[in-house]
Amino acid sequence: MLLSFLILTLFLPLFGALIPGKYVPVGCLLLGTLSSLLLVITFAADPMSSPVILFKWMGAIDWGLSIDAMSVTMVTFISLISCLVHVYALEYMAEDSRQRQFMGLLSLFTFFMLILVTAPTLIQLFVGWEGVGVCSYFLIGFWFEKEAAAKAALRAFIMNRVGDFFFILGIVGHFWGTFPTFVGVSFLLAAMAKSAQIGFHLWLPGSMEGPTPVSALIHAATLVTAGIFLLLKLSPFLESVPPILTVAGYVGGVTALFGAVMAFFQKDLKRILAYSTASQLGIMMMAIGLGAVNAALFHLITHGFFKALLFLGAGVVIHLYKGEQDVTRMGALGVKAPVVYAAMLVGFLSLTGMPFFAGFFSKEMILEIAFHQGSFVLLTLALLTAFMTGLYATRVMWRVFHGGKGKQGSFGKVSPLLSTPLVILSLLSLAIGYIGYAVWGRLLLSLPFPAPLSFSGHITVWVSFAGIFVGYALYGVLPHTSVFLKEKFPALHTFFVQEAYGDSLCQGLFVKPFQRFAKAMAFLEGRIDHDGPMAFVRGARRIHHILGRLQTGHICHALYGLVLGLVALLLYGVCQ
Amino acid sequence: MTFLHFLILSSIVFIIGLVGLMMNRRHLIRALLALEVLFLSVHLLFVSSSAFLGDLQGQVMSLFVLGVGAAEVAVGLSLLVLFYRRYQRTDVDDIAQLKG
Amino acid sequence: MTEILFYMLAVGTIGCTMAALFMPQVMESVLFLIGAFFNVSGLFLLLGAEFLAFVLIILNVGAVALLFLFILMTLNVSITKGGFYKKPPMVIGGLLLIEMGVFLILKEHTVPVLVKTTQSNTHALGEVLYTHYIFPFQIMGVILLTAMIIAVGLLWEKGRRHKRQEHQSDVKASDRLTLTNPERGKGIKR
Repeated sequence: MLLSFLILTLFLPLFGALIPGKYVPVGCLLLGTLSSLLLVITFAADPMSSPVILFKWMGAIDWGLSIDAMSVTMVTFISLISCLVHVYALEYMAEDSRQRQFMGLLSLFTFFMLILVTAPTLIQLFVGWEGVGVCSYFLIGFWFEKEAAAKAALRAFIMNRVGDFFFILGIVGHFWGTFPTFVGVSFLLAAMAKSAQIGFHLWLPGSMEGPTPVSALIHAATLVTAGIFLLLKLSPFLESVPPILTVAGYVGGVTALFGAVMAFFQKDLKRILAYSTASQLGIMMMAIGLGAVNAALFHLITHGFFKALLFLGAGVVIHLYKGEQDVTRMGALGVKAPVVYAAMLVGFLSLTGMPFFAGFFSKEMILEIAFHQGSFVLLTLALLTAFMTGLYATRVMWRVFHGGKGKQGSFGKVSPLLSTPLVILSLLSLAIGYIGYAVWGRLLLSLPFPAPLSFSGHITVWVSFAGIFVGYALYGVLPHTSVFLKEKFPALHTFFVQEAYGDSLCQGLFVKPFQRFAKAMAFLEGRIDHDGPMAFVRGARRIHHILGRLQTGHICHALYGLVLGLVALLLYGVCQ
Repeated sequence: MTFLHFLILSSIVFIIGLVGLMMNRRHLIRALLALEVLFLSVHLLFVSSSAFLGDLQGQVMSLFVLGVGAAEVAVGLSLLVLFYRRYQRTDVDDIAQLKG
Repeated sequence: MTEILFYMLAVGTIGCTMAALFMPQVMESVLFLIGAFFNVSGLFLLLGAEFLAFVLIILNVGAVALLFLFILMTLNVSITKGGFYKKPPMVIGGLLLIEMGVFLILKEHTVPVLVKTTQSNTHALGEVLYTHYIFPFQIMGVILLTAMIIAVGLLWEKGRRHKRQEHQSDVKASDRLTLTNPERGKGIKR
């Protein structure tokens, strides 16, 4: 029963991807989501956790499905988000001539992510990992007519390839079972590349060149969560290598703060959200570093819901502005599109971790664990992140929905196909915290803190609130302050707007030296070719010219050869 | 009249045929004649060895060679006619199309 | 008696083959080849292989040599003088001759004596041919048939219903025959 539901959930997206059509993938995803809900109900009634081996490959590698609390949770979560994104894309991409292809790719993307989360072995996980990477390449570069989109897709793919390389190293090391530190570092680097942690974060803002539904899917449910999921899956192993966990914690903390700061200085609405994702992924990474596996998973899921909500809302905003993505040119949209306003408000309140919204439960939990473990550096980083989150959330809300200088003119009505997923996600963002904490967490994950979150009188909330307040002060009350600060510290401003010169650094550190290296290699290869194989070719050609003269085509010459052979043969006979 | 005599005779005939074949530069038809001479020496060898060894196999083989020789002449002469039809001559030296 | 006959026939064979290959006129060559066939068939008779002796004459003289003559007469080729390569073939032939001589004379051989059979040669041959060698014999027939088909196929010209010897026209009556009206007492000047 359980298995059939799982298989149904898993392979309906693949079926949808293989059948061309606009509505087939949506229908498949709807059925798949229904099946996944049944799956979670069945599982809750009778929890079990054992991988089911379907068949063996090359006699040694298992292919199957792992059924445990984590995979069931992830399957349900991914199906639900993906289904809503599909419905949304039905309307959002309606004017694109290649919409059917787009829907198919989305379904395929979902399928590979589902394969990833249900993998019982690292090899199968790798299949899903690669599949997700390839699909993200196609989807980010879906509008490949734009040069920026093609480049961004390539960049995302290459960064992912770096992660894949480390993943393979990790698999090999894990298989040998030696050098646990090396294996841990490999897996950590793989996860960092996939989850856009600092150092590998450059592709994430770039991926905003893809259509908005793709962004929503990538940031909420599929691509970037793969790295976190990998570490969650490997947590029993990682706990045996404490230094790796410490490193992961610090990487997460730094990424969280970095993402939040970068988000504050971006102008592009989607880039702000992208950096926000990096920041939240950093918090998850930090939770893993603290050993709070279930808390990280919890945050992954709540974040998935509210980030999907934010992206889909941002997509509607961009649609309403007819392609405009610069928040400084928006404004006063709140009155004209109240549904979107409400949805985005819910999303941002969730993001900042306001009480009763989804983000509150998971974020508070992680910070509380940090507090209890006494890792105050991480706690400080997280609190600063919370402050910056409040700040940039307010900035976006103010710029887009309040603000004075909005683009005037009439906006079209928001189509129900666009607003329905928003409403559903808003409700889920409100509810998922309670559901997760009270029901699902208690039942399936046995979350570590049953008591209400009471860390120092909810200091996180107060810090976030402070961020929101400062943001309101900056933009709502004293709009000139930000301009004044910008003119006072131009170098600092440029530094942040240029995304900490990440692109230039990447160019200078990796791209340029690699190009030089490639040129040198090309030259060397030319020499080797010239003196190695080509020398043989030339020699063979020369010999061929000499020997070719023997072949005149005249019958009598061939006859001479024949007879001379006979003479030689007889001579041999005589001499013997 | 021993076996050796026949061996010597047939090898002399064979060498004559071979030299004739090599010397000839003009006529395809003369090449075919030389081939006939070569066949003749083979016949001589087969039949004499058959007679001296008391084994009929040699004569049977000679018979087969006779048949194959006849077939060869028929095909060779039809090729000659074909060649003549196309080039209006039968010079062996001109046939150099086997050159790779 | 047989010794003398053998030497006569051997000399005849060698002479005829040499003449067949080195006469300048191809027509004469074919005639000498026929002579060589006769000599060899005489040798076969000496060896007691009557059947093959007669088959050689019937087949080679009656069919092969005739075919040669036929082709020679229909194609206008016998008039061209034959050119020869001189030195290299002679050298190679001499080498071969020396080698064969050395091989045959200087090496020791067990020389068998001529076996006299009581049975008639044709009878014995027939018994072997139609029992033990029946399949090769049949295959030889197929080879001959194939050769015939090939010969016809090679010379087949498309779009012509009736086979006709086109090259008859190559040798016109005027090539061979000149009709003159000689003046009395003066003869013909060429």
